[in-house]
Amino acid sequence: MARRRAKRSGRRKRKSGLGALFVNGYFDFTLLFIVLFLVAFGLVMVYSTSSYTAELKMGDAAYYLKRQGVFALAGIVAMLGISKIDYHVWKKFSALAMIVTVGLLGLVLVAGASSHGATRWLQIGGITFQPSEVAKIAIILFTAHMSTIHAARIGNIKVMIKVIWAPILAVALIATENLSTGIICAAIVMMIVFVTSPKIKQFLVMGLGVAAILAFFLMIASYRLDRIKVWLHPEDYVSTNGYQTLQALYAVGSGGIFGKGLGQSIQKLDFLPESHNDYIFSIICEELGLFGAACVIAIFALLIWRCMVIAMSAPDLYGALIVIGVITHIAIQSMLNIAVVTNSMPPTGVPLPFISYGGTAIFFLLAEMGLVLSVAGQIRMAKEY
Amino acid sequence: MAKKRKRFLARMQKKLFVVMIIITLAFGALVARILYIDAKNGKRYEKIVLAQQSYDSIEIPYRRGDILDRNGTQLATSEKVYNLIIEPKNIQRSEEIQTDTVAALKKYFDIKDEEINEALQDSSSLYKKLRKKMTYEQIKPFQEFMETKDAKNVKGIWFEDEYERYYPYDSLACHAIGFTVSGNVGQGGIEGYYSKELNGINGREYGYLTQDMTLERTTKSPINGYNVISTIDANAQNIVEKKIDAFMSETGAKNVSVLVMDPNSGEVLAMANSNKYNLNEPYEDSAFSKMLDAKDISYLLNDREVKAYFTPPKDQELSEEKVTYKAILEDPNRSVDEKIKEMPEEFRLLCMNKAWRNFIVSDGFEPGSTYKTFTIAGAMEDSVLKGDESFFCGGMLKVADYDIKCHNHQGHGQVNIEQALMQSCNVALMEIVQAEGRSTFSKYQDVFGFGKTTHVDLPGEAGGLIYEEDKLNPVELATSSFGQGLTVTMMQIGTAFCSVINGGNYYEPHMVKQIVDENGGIINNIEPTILRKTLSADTSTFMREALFQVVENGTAKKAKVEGYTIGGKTGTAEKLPRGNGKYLLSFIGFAPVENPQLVVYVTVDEPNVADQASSGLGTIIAQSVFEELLPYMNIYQSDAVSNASGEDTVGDEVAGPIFEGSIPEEQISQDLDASQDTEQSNEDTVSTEGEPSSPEDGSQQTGEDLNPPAEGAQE
Repeated sequence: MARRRAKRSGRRKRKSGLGALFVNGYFDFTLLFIVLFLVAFGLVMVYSTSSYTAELKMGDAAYYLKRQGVFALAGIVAMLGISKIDYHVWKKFSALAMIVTVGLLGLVLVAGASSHGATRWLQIGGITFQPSEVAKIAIILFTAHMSTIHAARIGNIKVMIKVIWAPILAVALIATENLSTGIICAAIVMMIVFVTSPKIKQFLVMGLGVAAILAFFLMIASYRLDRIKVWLHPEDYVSTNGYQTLQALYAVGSGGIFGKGLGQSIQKLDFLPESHNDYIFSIICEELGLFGAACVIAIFALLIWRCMVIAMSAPDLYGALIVIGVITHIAIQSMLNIAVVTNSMPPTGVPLPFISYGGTAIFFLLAEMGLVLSVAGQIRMAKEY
Repeated sequence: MAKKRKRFLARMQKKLFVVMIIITLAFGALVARILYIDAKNGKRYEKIVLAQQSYDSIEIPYRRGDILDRNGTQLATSEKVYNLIIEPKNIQRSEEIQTDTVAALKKYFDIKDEEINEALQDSSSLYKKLRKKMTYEQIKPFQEFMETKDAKNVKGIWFEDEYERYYPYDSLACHAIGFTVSGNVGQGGIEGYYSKELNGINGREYGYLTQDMTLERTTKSPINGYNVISTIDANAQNIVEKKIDAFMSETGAKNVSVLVMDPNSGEVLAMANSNKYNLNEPYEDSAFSKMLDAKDISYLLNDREVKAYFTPPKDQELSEEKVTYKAILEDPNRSVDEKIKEMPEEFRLLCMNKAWRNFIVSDGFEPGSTYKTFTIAGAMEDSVLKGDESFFCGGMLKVADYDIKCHNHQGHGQVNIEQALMQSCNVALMEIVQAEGRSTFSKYQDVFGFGKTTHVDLPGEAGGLIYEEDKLNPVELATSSFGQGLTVTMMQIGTAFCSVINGGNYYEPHMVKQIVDENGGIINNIEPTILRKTLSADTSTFMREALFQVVENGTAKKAKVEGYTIGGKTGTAEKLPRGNGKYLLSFIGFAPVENPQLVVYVTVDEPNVADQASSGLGTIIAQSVFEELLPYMNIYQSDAVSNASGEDTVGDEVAGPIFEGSIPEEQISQDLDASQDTEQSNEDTVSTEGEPSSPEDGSQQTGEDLNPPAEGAQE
C-alpha cells in the first residue's frame, strides 16, 4: 500500500521558489518504524543501564534517560525535516561541508576538550559535540557527490584519487585521535567508491594498503599495541586494561538464552564501567539473553536490508550512493561495537548506533536516516525493479 | 529536472548486493560468537558475576539508649552527629563541579585549601572523611544551600550518621552514671553495668540473591538500645553535690562522699563523691587537675598509690623520669598547668583512675562508731540484750592482755543501751560483744551483709574485709564491736542501715528501677527485692528510738533540722597508721523517725581542719543535706519537734587514741581497676596500709593471722 501511495504522488508537481526544496512523495514507513523502534529500545536500555549510576552520582535515576530523550527527540524532528527536503540540495553544500569538517577536525586536535584520555570533543557556546559525528555526514554527502560526477571514469585510479583525496584527509585527521571512527569513515568512502567503480582488483590492493596503514597506526601508539595483548588474553589483565573487557564478557556470558530479565543486570551495578555507553550491548545480552541479542542484531540487519532496497530503487546514482554511505556507517559501526563487546576484536570505543548513550551520535544518526527517507521519497514507480 | 540523471546501474547493484550478503554473514557470525561465549563460559561467568558482588555494604548504626533519672530527666543521651564525607572522584568529574564544590566546602565548613587538595589527590576515591561529629546546626546552612539553584554544581558531598554520647549535666552523678569509651562500651557506673541493655544492634543495608538468582538490596533497620531509668533523683543529686562543693571550697578534705537511699526499697536516690569529673570529657586534664591544686596536693602526695608510684622497686633506683616529676609535683612554685604538662603518661592514668573511682562502692574503710548501730541491733535481736541492761564505763576495758580505751578517757560511768549509743561508749559495746560471743557477732556481720558485696548494680564493687568467726579472738571481737579492725564500703553500711530502721527488711540496693524500649514499652521492672530479714519489727523500733536519741541528746546534735525528727549515728575512725591525727568522719542518719523515708550517709576523709576528730564535719554536712532534701522530697514535718539547739560542745567521740589495732588487708575491687587500666590494677591490689601492727599489739595481730576473708568481688 505504501507503494500505491508512492505511485499516486509519483508525478510530482514542480513548485517554484522555496517550495522546490520540498518533496511530497512516497514515505517509507517501514524504515521509519524500524528506526523509531531502535531509538525507543535504546532509551529503555539507557535507562536500565544508567539508572543505578545516575541515582548514585546525579541523584536522579532518569538523568541520562532525560538527556538522551531530548537529543533523540531533536534527532527525530531533524530526521523528518530532512526527509522532506530534496536531497539534491546537499550537492551544493557538500564541498563547503567538507572544508568546514576538515577545519573543525583540525581545531579539535588543537583545542579539544579531553574526555577519557583522547581529545574528541569540541565546545561551542555551551554545547560540546564530536566533530567526527558531523564528519560522517559530510563525508557521505561529499563522496557520493564526487563519485556521481566521476562515475563514468572512476575505474581510472587517478580519477578515483581525485574523488577521495579530500575525504581521506578528513579520515586521517579523525584516525589520529580515534582510530575506530577513522576506520568507519574510511569504510564509508571506500564502499561508495567501490560500488560506483566497475573494477574490483584495485580495491583488493587498496584493502591491503589500508591494512598496512592500520599496522602503522598500531605501531606509533603504544597503547593500541597493549590493547591487542589485552584482547588476546583478557584474563591476564584483570586489574588493569582487561577489566572492562572481562566484565563485559561476564555480562554477555551470564545472560544465558533468555537473560536475567529487563533491568535485572548485576554487572551494571558498578562493575561494568560505561555500561550505558559503548558496552550497552553486553547488558542487553545479560538482561535479554542470547535471544534478545540476536533480535537486536536482526533488527540492525533488517534496517540495513531495507536501506539496500531503497538504494536499489533510488531514482538516481547520487541518492543510491548516499544511502550506501549511511548503510555502511550503521553496519560497520554496529558490527565493530558488538565485536568489541564480545571480545572478537581488540577493544576500541565505538557506540552501538541508536542504542548507546550519546547525544551527538544519535542526533546525527537520525539526520542520516532523514537523508535515506528523503531518497526513498523520490522513488518513482516508473523505474521498474 | 531537465538534466539527465545518472542512474544506479545494475553492476553497481550487484556489487552492493554482494556486500550486503557479506554484512549479513558478519552479523550471523556475531550471533554465533555470543552463542559460543554462552556455551563455553556461560556457567562460569554466571558464578563469577555472583561471586564478585558484595552482599553487605553499609552499616547503619543503632542508637544507644538514654539513662534517665527517676523523674525522666536525661542524664545520658545519644545525639546524632554527622561526618562530612566527600567523593574526590565525583568532585573531579568536571572543572565547574570542582570549583563550586571546593568553594562550598570552604564556605560552609571552613576547610582549608591544602586539606581539600590533599583529599582530592586520591582521585579514584569515593570516600574521604573530612569532618567528624558535626551537629545538625553545623550542617544545616549547607543543607539549605544545597536546596538552592546555586548548588547545582556542588556534588560528591554527603553526611554519614553517627551517634555521640552526651551528658547534659556534665559532672552531675558522674560516678553513678559512668561514661562510654570507643563508641558504645560502657565504663563504670550505670553505663558500664547496663551497657548490654543500653546497646542495640546495628542495622545493615545489604544485597542478597533471590531464588531466581536476581540480586535484591534490602535494608535491615537497626534496633536501638533500651533506655534505663535510674533510681537517682537528679534534683536530690544536685542538692547533695552542691553541699559537697560548698564544703570542699570552704574547708576541703581528701574526699567527701554522700549516699542517699530510700530505706523502704533500697533505691539509691543520690550518690556523690567530691572527686567529680566531667562525663563529656573524662580523658581531659580537667578530670584530675583539681587534685594538683596547692590546697589538695598534699592529699595526692600522701596517697597510697602515689607513694607506691614513687617508691623504687626492690634493689633498684627510682627511674629518672619519676625522680624529676616527683620534684616538680612537690615544688609549690610550679603551677598546676606545668604539673600537668610534665606529667608522665603512667602517672596521668593513675590520676584519671583516681578521678573515676567511686569511693562509695569501690573502697573499703574502717567505719568507726557508725558500726555500733549494727552491734547493738544484732545483740538486741539475738536476745543477748533485753533492753534494760546497764554498763559501767571507767574509760577503758581490759581485753585479754590489752587495755582498750573508750574515747572518753574519763569514762562515761553507768550507761544503759540507749546511752551507750548516745555517748558512743566503746566500753559498753565491748561488754555487749563479750556477752554475746564471737559466733553471734559473726552471724550478724553476715546478716547485715558485711564482708561481701551488696550486689548493687554498679561495676567494681568491693566487699570489704571482716574477721571470720574463727579469727574473732577477744581483741578482734572487742575492736570490731565499735567498727575498728574491719573495713566496709559505704554501700554496705547504707544498705544495712536501711534494714535497721525500716522494720528489718534488707533490700537489695539498686541504681536502676526500670528498663524500657525506645517507645516506652517496659522491658524489665526492677522491683525492690527483700533479700532477708535482719531484725524483727520490735528491734527496729527500739533502734529507731535509740538513734533518735543520739541526734536529740547524744553525739549527733548537730544533725538536727528544725521541724523534723532525725535519727542517726556518728562515726570517727582514726586512720592507719594510728596517731597521725588523720580521721575519717562519718554520719549516717534517717528521717522522719516515725516513718523513715530517707537515709543520708556522709563520709569525710581527712578534712582540712586542725582537729579532725572533734570537728563533727560528717554530721554537719548531713544536716545541711537533710535540711534541703526533706522539703524537696515532700516529707512532712513531724509534730513532735524538739527545739533543742544543736549548738553543743559535745563533739563526736574521740580525743585520744583508743587502740592501735590494724585492719585486715585492705581490699580494693579489682574489677574497676581491671576495666580501667591493667597496669594500674597490680599496684592497687598491693596494700601498703596493711602493715604489721606495732609491737605492743601482741601476738594475735601479727601479719600471718590476717588472712583476708574471701573476696566476694562482683563480676
